[in-house]
Amino acid sequence: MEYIYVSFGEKRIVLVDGLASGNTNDTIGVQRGTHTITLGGVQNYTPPSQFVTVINTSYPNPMKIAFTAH
Amino acid sequence: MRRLTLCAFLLSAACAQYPYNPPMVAPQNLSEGYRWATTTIPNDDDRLFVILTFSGGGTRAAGLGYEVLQQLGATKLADGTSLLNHVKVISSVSGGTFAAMDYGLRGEAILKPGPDNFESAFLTKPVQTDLIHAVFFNPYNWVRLISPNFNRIDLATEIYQQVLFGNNSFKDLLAAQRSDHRPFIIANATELELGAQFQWTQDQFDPICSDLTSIPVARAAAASSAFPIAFPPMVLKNYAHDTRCKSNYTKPSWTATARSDIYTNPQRPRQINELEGYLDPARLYLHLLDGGLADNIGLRGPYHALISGDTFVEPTGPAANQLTGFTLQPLIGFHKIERLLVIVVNAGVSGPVSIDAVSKDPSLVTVIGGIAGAPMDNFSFDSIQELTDLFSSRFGQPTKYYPVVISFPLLTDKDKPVRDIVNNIGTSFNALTPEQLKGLKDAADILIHQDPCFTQFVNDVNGVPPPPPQKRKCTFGQ
Repeated sequence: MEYIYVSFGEKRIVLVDGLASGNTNDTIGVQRGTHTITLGGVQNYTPPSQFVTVINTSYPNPMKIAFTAH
Repeated sequence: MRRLTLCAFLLSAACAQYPYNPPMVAPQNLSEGYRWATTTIPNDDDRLFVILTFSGGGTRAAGLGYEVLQQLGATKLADGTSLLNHVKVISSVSGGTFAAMDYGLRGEAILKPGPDNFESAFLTKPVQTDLIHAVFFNPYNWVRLISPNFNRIDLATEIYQQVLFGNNSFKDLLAAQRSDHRPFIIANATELELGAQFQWTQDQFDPICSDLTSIPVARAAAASSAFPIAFPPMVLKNYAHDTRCKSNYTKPSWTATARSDIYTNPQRPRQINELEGYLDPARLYLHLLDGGLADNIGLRGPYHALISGDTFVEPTGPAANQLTGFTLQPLIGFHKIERLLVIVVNAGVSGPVSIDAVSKDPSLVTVIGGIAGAPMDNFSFDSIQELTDLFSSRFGQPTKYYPVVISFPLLTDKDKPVRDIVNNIGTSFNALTPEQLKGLKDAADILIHQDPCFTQFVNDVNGVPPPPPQKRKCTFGQ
């Protein structure tokens, strides 16, 4: 099991490979491997999606993924 | 005239064909069919979330599963519900499928005295004898079995319908779930050529473009318990490239990237290969055998749902209210599950020394049994290890995890009389004797009460455990 922490200025749903998996600014469990991360709601963020390989993380030390508003 | 009628009768019998699974004649729709997304569970109160897995092992497994259901029904929670009311998923294999499926259809009625009671409806019925009689002593079936399109597994389906399931289909199973918030029942079989677990849910039927809705649940029980050699494989038609297929099924988006995970997580590309196997134009049929070949304790599906969002279907709908395949990632990620209890009910036994007691070569049947059984047992052990490792790695997280294993080898020497009784119950579908029924009841009772994680869970939710096992009384000195 691996973990990501997706930061964004407001609470949004985090989609992992299209699956709503948790909220921004929270730690989310994902399967080890390569995933496409996007946010739910209005597409007012950048980048539009992030393609990440999640490996060697833990709950206290998740992979940090940042989206910013534009 | 009589001779003509007899000829027509025999001819029709010899042309017997069990109807194939029907094609999907509408576009894929995650809000229809027997699947995770159409159950009430994703939108229910899931703070307490209990998953049961029922292993294979004939009536021994069915009986142990039934007794564990009884124990959970007797475990009361502070809000007046029982722990049984919080069982959300039952994943089952072979004999365990009979208890799981019957509970899914009839609910708590199978646990109470009455016509629906599982003990009187199934556990004490000579189903094995019925199967043997149907194959060997019924001339009408001899003729039917000549047909290349009707075999013993089809006959078994009919018997399971007569004995337990009637004409109930997956439509009825879904209706029962939705009306009474019952668990999602996943009956597991094994696809012979792919060597893959095959779940009797619409999510699994989508890639083969078939509609599960009208199929009798007895069909799933038969496939799940089609022990090799004793039964031939059950044949399903694959409509993925058939002109009758009207589904617009496409591979889910995770498959586009997961193939590159061959070194980081080979399970993901393996799952793609499995999915693509069903979509292969050359695969016109599937051949299903006992679910125990791929996973004899039924844990693999729930374990995958705990660690992965990868399913055979693409999530649909708005992000806030998605319809998905069977994954628990959203319920955990959005903190909807506070406490998750997984109870693995494994009816495997540690029998007495037999092969190694003598120098003589074991019979071919014994050797085949060993070849089939040893990998299954090892895989079951590894699956439980993976589950406990996963839960250990999640200490300190918002969701609290509790693994419980109900398994006969955990009976201690103190409980040797019970252990001896259950170890000597075969894996056939023979009727259980009153002594065997009591042995299974006592075993479930002891194993539930002695499990520290079950006790911890009940304490943590302010519950009241089931009444303790009755102390065995001395029957002498009378």
